[in-house]
Amino acid sequence: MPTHKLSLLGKILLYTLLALFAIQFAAPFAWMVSTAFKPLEETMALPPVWIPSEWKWENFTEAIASMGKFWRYAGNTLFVAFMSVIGSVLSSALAAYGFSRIEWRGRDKVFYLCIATMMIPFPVIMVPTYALFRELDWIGTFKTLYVPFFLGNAFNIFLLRQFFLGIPKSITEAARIDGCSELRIFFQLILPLSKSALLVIALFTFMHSWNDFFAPFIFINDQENYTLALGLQAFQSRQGGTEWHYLMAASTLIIMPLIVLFFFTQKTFIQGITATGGK
Amino acid sequence: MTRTEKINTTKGLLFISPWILGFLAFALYPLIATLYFSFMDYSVLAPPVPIGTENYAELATDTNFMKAVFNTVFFAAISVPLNTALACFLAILLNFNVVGKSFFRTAFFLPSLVPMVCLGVIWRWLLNGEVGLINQVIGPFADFANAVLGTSFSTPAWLEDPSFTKLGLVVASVWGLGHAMVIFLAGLQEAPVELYEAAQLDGAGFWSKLRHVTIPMVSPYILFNMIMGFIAAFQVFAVPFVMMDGVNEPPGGPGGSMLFAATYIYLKAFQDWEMGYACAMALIFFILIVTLTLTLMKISERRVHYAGK
Amino acid sequence: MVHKILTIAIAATLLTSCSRIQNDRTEDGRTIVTLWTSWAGTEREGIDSVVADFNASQGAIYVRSLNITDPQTKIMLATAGGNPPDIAIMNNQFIAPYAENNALTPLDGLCQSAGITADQFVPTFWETANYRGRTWAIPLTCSVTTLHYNKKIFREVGYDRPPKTLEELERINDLITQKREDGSIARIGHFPLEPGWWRPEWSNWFGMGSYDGENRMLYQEEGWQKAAQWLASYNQRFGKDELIKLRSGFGRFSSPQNPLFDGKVAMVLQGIWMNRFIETFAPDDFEYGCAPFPASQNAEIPYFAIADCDEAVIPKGADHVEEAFTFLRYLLEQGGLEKLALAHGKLTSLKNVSPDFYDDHDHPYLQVHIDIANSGYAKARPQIAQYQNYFTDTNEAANSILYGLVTPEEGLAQIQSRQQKALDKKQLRWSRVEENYQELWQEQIDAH
Repeated sequence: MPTHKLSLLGKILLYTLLALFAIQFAAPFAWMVSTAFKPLEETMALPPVWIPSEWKWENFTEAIASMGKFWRYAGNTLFVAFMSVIGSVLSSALAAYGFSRIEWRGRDKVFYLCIATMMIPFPVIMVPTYALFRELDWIGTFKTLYVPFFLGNAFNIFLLRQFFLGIPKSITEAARIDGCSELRIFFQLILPLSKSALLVIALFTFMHSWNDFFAPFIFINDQENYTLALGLQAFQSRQGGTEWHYLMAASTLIIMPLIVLFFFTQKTFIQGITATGGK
Repeated sequence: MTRTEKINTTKGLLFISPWILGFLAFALYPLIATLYFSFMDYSVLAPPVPIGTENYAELATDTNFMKAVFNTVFFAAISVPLNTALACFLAILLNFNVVGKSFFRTAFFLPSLVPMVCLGVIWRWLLNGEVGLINQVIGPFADFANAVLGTSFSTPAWLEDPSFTKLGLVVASVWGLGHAMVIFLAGLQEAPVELYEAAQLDGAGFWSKLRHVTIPMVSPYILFNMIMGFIAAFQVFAVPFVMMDGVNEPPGGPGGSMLFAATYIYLKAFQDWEMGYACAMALIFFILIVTLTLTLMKISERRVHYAGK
Repeated sequence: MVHKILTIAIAATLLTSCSRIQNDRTEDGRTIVTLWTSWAGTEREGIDSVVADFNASQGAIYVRSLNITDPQTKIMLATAGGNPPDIAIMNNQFIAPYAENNALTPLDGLCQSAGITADQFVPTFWETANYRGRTWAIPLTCSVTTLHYNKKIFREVGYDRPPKTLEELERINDLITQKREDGSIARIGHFPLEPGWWRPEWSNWFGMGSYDGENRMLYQEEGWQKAAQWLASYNQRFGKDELIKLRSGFGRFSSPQNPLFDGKVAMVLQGIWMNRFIETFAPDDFEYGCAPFPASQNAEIPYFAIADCDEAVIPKGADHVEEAFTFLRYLLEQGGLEKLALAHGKLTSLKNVSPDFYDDHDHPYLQVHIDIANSGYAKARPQIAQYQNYFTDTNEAANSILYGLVTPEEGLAQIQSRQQKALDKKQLRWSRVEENYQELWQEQIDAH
């Protein structure tokens, strides 16, 4: 309620609430980072120690060493994320264009079908998908993770379609009259105009690849091909979860790139999420 | 169809052809195959053997399946409304043009970036019964209550006590509400200032504005966030899996209290290699999700206010 | 810009789609045999050193070992996906599920032509590699469980010898257990969930397992009834909430906070490998003893032990069966297995070991374990096609009964009905496919 004038009491209440919530949301982070720097004894100390008595940077090198091939996992994750982003941007943009800038009969019905596929959870289709990948001899390869992104993604298509619909028709009409091919209009007019929207889906896809656990968990089985998420899970599973300083150091390392990325692209990011809430 | 129409249709279909392929391969085929396998004894390593409705008959008496359905519904029913309400509440707070708005927004949003596996690892640490931060925070309150009121509260063993495991997961899920909050914030900003001004003129106070202007304005976002929340909650897998992993407990957690739909499908499919059975289960869950989503949409049709309609 | 991205994308796709070409030769032309194991730490160093010996001993095969976690799932995922390793190391209890799902290569033919026969192995261990009349694995390093007890705590309560019956063990348990003022447990003598790795097998100490080996689950028989009473006695004696609290305070197994090492628990059921962990993590003044874990006085056996083996299998569809088997043969015939067992601090599956083995083995109670392995009172976990389900479910039931969430009668009735149904289902399935499978397996055996 932007225009509502708050009394002093109201203001105090408002900021107290905000501060309390902010502390609650920040505390787990702070605890993770602080644990990541602690010596082992202090992780278990009662009452809790927030500031480590000595900052053990070597926890990070130790965590990396004991996780196995950390850098290899990071490379794998980056590769999968990179391929997924390319695939997703390309195929979703194409499909969104077909759903928005070209008039054809039954278009909107097909689009609803596309939206409806968002309701299919991965666990429901994982068995046949596994069987399909097996037939293709893809099990254990990264293709199982990124190829689906080359075949469109309902969520991204939805986002881009919203954006494409907002581009005035007149821009493309002129090009059409000049005899430009549809592909050329797509590549040379629409895409350059949609950089921000493309960045949004690139970001979302990147985050998704970075975070994904279930699919790699099933489709990737050779340790050499692990992603970071798999590596962390295996690390915890192997050591049973008590060397908390290492686990938190590893978690911090995996989360950090996302947070850095977020701070660099904050505006686009928030815009992107805002757009998903479209009615 | 005229010539241009035909050309346009061809063009349109060409542009969406990657998606069509994806739809066939990763939506239509798997759904049909799930249905097909659900009538089979299938282990991937050998050709499927038709067994009629045996899988479904077994499902009807499988107590673990009931447990998984109950746990999933229980978790979704608590966490989704809670998260949606809290996200909406935080957005309303932020919408008071507060000083440092972007700071608060970032603070609330950042945790939703944390990958599932990290979330599981971090919360397992936070919820640790002995030295976890959560218990260290609530411990003094419990002690205080015990001293003053003579009660006998003790801090829960979040990960070991079957009656607390799911609540622990709910607590962890609240941490990820940032996404929904940002959407609410956008929705609130869309609300025309005139409406508030009109209400102000009518002498409406804070609560009445909230009830008559704000809530109706954000109702589509509530619906959207609830639906997305339910779809996500029904798939919950990684966080409980990681939280329970290596606690020397079966993946379903103590007392099977962390056995969720996705966990059970996974266990049946990839640990017991009863893929036919897993498919039958998957199909029932799918029907459950679709029904729920459609019901939610139906109910809200009357209540949700769409601006401009 | 867009074109550039497009080009890169296509190039990258082409590049990666070629990456699957089988890379099964070293640069000098040796065949690469991949080996998957979940062994970590010193166990991993053991296999690495044996593999290095093998690789140096000949010039045709190069074994490359890789680490995995959650082996029973990962190996199956890879095998079912058509992308298995050439050798996988797994626990004996997974042989039956793997074999019954057609995920292993039968080794009968290979063993026969290599002269590997049953009488070379300790019978208890060899049996674990056989199922449905075929040999599926080579048992490698093995162990039997014993009672590991803290001698100092025993002396503290006036005992200088291990218990002779389970009932006596419980009397000692009560002597040892200490409660704090607020009712919480500071120390417990014995707790069946620590470590709890063999929870589904507790009925054996009352004279009977969970499965008759054919078509009946035995949860409603005397063995489980007595075992359930015994489990339930824990919540009656110590309280559910106190036990949960106690357990949540147990440290990680391989750390100084292991409850046995830091004195929270005085008696545990453990395998022979425990000595390794005691040497590494327990305090210097930690004194322990190993003795047969006594059975109930009403059972007809004096004690019981679980036999566990880590076994090597060749998954179905492995690319280099012969080469893989050459390595396994090397382990058995040229002292590789002994070296491995010494590194693991365990027993070998072989009957005859070199005299050096006894001298080099650092376990102070080695003979206790060897005697138990040969006693006939050591048994492997049941060979059952739905092992994972059986394990999870029985674990769960044992937990619920122990904590008093269900009465022993209810708990057993429920699990009997569930597990009998699961068994019937597997039996029915087996009857449908048996003929095909046996024929298929015979072909595979004849091929080698």
